[in-house]
Amino acid sequence: MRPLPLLALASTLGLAPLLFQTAQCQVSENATAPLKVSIKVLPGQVRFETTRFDVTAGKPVELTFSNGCIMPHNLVILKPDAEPAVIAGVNALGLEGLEKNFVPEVPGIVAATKLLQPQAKEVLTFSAPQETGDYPYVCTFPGHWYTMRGVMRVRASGVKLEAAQRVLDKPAQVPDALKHSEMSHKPMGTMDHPFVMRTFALDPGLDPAVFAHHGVGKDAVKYDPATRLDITKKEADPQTGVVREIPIPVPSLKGVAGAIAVSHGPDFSYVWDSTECRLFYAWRGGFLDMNPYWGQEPGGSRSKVYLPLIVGHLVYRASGAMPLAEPNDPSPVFLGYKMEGGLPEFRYQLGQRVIREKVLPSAKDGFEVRVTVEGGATPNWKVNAADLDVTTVRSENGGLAVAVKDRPEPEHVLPPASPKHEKH
Amino acid sequence: MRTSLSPFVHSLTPFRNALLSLVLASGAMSVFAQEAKPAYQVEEIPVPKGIAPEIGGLGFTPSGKLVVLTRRSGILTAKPTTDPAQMQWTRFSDQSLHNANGLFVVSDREMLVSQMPELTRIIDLDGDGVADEYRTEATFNLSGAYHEVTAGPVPDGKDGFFIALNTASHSGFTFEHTRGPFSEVSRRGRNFASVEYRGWVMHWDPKTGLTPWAKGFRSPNGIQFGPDGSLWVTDNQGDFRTTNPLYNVQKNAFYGHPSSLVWDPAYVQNNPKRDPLKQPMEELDAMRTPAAVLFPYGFSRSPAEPLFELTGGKFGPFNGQMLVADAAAPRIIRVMLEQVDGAWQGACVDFYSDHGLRNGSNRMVFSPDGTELYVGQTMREWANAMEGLQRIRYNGGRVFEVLAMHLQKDGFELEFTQPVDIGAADQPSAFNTETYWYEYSSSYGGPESDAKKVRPTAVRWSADRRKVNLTYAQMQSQRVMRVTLTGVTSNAQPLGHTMVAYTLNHLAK
Repeated sequence: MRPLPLLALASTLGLAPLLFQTAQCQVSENATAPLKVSIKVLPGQVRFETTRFDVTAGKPVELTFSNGCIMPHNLVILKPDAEPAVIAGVNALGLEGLEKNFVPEVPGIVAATKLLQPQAKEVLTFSAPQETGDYPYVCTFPGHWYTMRGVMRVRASGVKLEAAQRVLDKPAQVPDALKHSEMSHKPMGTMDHPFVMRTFALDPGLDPAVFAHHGVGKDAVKYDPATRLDITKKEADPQTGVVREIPIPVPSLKGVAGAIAVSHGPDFSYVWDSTECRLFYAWRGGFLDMNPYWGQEPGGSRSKVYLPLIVGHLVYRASGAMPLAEPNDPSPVFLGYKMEGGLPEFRYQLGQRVIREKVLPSAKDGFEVRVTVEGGATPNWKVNAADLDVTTVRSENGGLAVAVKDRPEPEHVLPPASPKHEKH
Repeated sequence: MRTSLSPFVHSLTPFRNALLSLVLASGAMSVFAQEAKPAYQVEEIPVPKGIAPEIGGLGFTPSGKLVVLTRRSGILTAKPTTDPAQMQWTRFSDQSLHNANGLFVVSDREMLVSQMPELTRIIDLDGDGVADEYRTEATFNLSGAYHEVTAGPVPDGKDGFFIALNTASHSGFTFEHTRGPFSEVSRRGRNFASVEYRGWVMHWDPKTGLTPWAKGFRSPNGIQFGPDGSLWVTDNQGDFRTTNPLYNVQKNAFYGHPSSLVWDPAYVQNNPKRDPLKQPMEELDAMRTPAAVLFPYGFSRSPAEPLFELTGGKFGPFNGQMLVADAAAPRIIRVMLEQVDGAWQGACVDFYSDHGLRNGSNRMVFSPDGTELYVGQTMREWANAMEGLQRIRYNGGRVFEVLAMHLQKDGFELEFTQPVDIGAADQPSAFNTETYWYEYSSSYGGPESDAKKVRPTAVRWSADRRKVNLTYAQMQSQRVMRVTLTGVTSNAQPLGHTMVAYTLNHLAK
């Protein structure tokens, strides 16, 4: 240990020499055994491996500094605000710096090693300052200072010391901002200001005829990417008992891929399908619980089903062929929607006809669907025998008003069974 | 090595001589009193309560407003402020789009957005700042899997746009009624394309509509059109993706993930039930176009949007280079591309990692003045939530990084942003190199294979100490060469990012 920093320490901290000597004494009691700290240099990186360590005020410290780098380095511990003065002191050393280990004779230095050659090591023994605070340590070799720095935290007696922090320690992760977003997974609109949502939606067991322009999804089987073969399991034939290898099925789900779900508050919600371009179902008593699709609120990760739940009871479900379609019409083409008078007005093409469609909400008994054809032609709504809920179709402002009456028996939709989902 | 040394320095080792002389000669003393401040700093940007800050797209309007497309909480806009907490947010749309994951800002009143079922033009018709029309420009087919997300639209330099369509994942499900015709053949697989054009890059313009452009993608969550007219797509490690790739996309080419092939009329013209998963790997390998850059898995866990740095120096020294967001690590990668033998290839290095950057970076945009990079994050649904909005500000400070890596006949030329100190960087040991390859395989991800450790046989620095030529005993095509720079300093400051990996598809002639 060099005498200069010790003198500096004693003078700058105003420590009594006696205290110093006490600290230097090797006493067998644990309370006075020196705190051992080891600081290495990251080779070639001009950085200390340890960027923070804690000591107790007034207690002895045994700091081992090892220079595993290819460049010479020192380690100088400074008083909390001494950095500018010490820098100025190093600057003033000029070419004498090397002789003096780049440690100037200025106040503010708590302890300092020599300028260590590559692969050299020095043990520095000193008393931690009596005054608590953050004491920076740096390498004062010109230029190293920007990156070769750390902090010695002097804690009051009795304060628990934290483990040293090292550069190589995993950096702290920046927290997820979703957690505190207060994002609701049970969104809701109002009668006047509907909440419009594009989502996968449940197919509550609709008449397959309403999916006329969809593809037919089939159950699949589990597959192993490494072999490019299906994964099989052993199963005994219930009749013969013969054990066979059979594929593991992956069932398909009842879902609506292109749904537009609209909430007018707890009293009225509906799903309009942008693939078939028609109203699929309507319900009362709530909107959607998105937790199974979006993950558990506020920010759960992937769930098992990826479909929201319907909250409430169905009052209408579509069935049969599309009521506005003519026999030779190609698949409907969805053109989008405009917010008209606060309501989404859907627009789609059927053959040469461009149709606008609005669902007028109502809090009870029934509701209305309004359709018009662009260019003024009268839409031809074919009342479907299966569509018992449609009660009347009347002309209204050049279009049609289709009255729909709530089903007499409100129908609750059960959540889809969560298919067994094995991860690979 | 430099010589003009004061007498007492002669007693030191030659290396220290050189170092000290350089420090003294370059005036390092005079910068001593300056505050050591990082050149790039990350700031957190809070968004209003009730909004899920899951960022699917970022852009700026012509009037300078930041546009934030969220995956399920609509579209927000705000004029950026110096204090990000003071930004006054407006909801351009409060409707919940379906996993919206791509944005092109047409004007202050018009946004083009991709969401799972469609490409939507969202328009504020009456100029009150709130969107009134959601015009469907093109529809995308869906089997019903959460994984069938989009990337883009990115403008094609004319009137059109490119959009990438992800495949479905076996972690999701298929609906009984699919949007678009269903292929039983292509429903098999780890990631699959059971409905049309999943795993394709599409082109859309108002006149011709949506047309298929290129195929063979798995999870292309990043797409960008370069200033020179080149199209770039990042894809994600998984089946048929041993590591994360960056592709230069050519029309009609096939990029290695086979499920999408069933939707190529030429592929199935002689056999409508032709199953690409049953085709020999050698044949698929021969059909595919290789990646321009193969990101080491340690570099990029899940590459997202690529963005060209075209700020002309406002964001540091990397003008013209590509940055790539990484959705599964707190990192943004920098890509240094070059054309060799008529094909793009190049190197990657970290641009920014840790130090306040959140995991999950998905979309990026530069501020109009070029000094800030806005970064939107999201990884919810397939990993732990890591959502949010940040920006990285360049404060004009000194940046010490590898600036370029150019393939030579016998090695590489590395260029640095600052002159490099004499000393350790003059030794071959400063450039320890691993060379390896990624086998094309149907498995989910894979190792670096046939790895070898090599060192340059010669290290030659330019007179200005900004360029070094590394010579190797052997240069092989179909290798990644990853150089770890050790002890490379400038003014005694360490190199910011020390690992650089070059994908060597073609040798220099």
